[in-house]
Amino acid sequence: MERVVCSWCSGQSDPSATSCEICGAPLDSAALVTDSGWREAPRLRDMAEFHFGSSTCQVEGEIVPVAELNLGAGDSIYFEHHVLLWKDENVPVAAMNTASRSFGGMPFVVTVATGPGRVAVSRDATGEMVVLPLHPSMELDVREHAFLAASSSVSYSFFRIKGLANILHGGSGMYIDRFITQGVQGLLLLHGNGNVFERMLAPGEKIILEPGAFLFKDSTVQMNVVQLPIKTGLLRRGMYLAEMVGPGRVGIQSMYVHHGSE
Amino acid sequence: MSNLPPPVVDNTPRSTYTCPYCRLDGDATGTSCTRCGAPLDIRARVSESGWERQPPIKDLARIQFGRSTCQVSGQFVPAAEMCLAEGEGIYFGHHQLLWADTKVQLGNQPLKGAWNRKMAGLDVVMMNATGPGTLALAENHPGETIAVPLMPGRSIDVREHRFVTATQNVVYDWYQSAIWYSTRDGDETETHYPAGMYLDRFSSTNTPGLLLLHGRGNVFVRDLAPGQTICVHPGAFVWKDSSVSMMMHLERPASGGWFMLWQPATPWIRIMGPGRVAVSSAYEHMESTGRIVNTSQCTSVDWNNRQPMQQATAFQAIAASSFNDVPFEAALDAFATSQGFTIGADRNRGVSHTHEYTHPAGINISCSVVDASAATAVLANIAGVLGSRGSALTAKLNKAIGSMGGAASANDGQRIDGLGTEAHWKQTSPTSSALTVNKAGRLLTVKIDANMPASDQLGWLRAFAAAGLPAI
Repeated sequence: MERVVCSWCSGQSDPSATSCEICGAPLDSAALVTDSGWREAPRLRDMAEFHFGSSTCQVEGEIVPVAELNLGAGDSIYFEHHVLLWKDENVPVAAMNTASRSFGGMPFVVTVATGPGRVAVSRDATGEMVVLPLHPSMELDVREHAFLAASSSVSYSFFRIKGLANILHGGSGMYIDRFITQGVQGLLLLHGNGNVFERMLAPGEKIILEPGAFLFKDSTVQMNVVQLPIKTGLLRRGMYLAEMVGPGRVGIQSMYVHHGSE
Repeated sequence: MSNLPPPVVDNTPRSTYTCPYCRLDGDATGTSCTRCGAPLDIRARVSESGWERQPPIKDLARIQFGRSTCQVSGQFVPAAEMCLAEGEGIYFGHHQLLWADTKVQLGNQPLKGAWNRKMAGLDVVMMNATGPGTLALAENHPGETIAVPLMPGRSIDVREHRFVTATQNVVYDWYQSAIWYSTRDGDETETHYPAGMYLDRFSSTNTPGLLLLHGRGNVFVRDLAPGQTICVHPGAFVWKDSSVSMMMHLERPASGGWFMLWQPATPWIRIMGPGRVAVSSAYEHMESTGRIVNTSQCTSVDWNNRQPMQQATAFQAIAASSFNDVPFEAALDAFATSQGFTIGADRNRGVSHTHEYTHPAGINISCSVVDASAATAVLANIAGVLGSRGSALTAKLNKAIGSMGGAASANDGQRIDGLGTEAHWKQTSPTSSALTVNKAGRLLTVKIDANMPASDQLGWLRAFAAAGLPAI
């Protein structure tokens, strides 16, 4: 049977489909890649729909997008409790125990919603929804406050950033969320402030980022804080930036909270 | 926005193109201007008031400067990817750096007056980057990137915190905006700068340069004629030509009444042409000002004394929209001259136009045409201003309004046929009479003053009316 392959998630869809059945990316428009190799995250069309397990997700809105998830019986997703926009009355929700996240300034109530029924989630910031279908045996690191929702087949953990300089100057907070798939494919939804770009780094390839712009990376990518010999204020301190070292992909967002180097 | 007619397709082959936004010639073969990135394949979107939407730079559009290029990507919070050729450089605020490859040389850009800048809340640190290599810059607000190519001799003033980057050959300076007001609360006096304490000035001297700005929300530009003024919300101002001047303007919605200490006002910027000015649609909310005790050079409007001004503005608007008198005047002049009349006084009063003619045989004719709807509006405005304070005059005005569009009555005089529309003739004395004609909302009155029989007077009146009516 003839299928078309999505250039964003490599998922296969019916040739007549205008958007990917796995991630919702438009199939009838070319990928937008800058001269230096940054690829824009696919701009999901209003009302684009895609599938995961026996559930569907429909993306509504373009400036502050909403993910409306129609959960099949037994399917479940989890999300930070404050991103819940609305839910059907009959959808049960429960709390996932992640109390230690509160030490990192993150919501410690991660909520699990189980189908059948509909829930909708959104973050209240202008930006793009990034749909990342995770193939089995993948590990993805995500900056805090960027995680929107994930299917229950994706295991969730978080790790503390090592090194005081990295915590203080890394701009990524104290923890980084880590999402891992084992034997089953899963779905991860992120929210990037502003526009989102992705780039694949070759082994050993380095790039310097504004730390606040970091959104996600493969766990194979190393993130180090480097200090440039540039005066950033009257006290003449150096400027801290994040150095990403391949191999793997890196995602950034164009609107970020500056990490306050002055 | 206005309902624009369909675009006119110009199939004329051409290799160059003058961009309507940066006003420079560029290559017409692409889809966007190579100087400023504005799309080539769209038509201008101009509001009825004259504001032109600055079209967002297309995703991945390239702008050429020197041997380097800038590529703008993203639509909500665009990132400007600067691919710098060897030896070419840019400077920017250090917090705008999104990413850089490791080949780019980054360093400090020297700035004068660091202490003053710190006190004014401006960047005290600027970075520069020198090629070869690539780096990307982005502002942290949803909006649009604006590319302003600066040709030698051109300089523009930019609101603080709107600057993204400029090429090294663009001279950067900053000066006090001189737009401020002081408020007092108890013994404490505070000075506010609604348009920022300083304005950035960017100039190009010998070689063309490129300036990138960030407008929050959508950006609109407008050309102001010499002396033309416009009031703009202080937070919305983005940039202006250096030939455009600015000053403080206050709108006072209340005088405070018994509470004389409470005199809130809304601060605005009064901008005066000639030149271009740009505003953005997203801006900071201005808080109530409290009691203002001092301002920079300022105009103000007290809303309590505003009604006469509003009425005057309404009169001007009505007068400005009255009909075009030129064809009417030309038709009458031609007829009168052919009959041996001398053209006399010509009185144009917005809603009413009067033309007088004199014949050596002692015949004086005046033809006046009044826009009935505009005149009605003017009279209604005057009646509204007078209100109960001039009841007698108001009653007369209302009567006049009624006579403008009302049905014919016995007082109008004898009905005259043969002119193709409703007409009445009335003799006011043995030597004078008047013919009034209603046509298409216009009231034509032809008067004659001549020592001749009434039938001859009517004959001349009919002849002049017949000459002028087709042009109404």
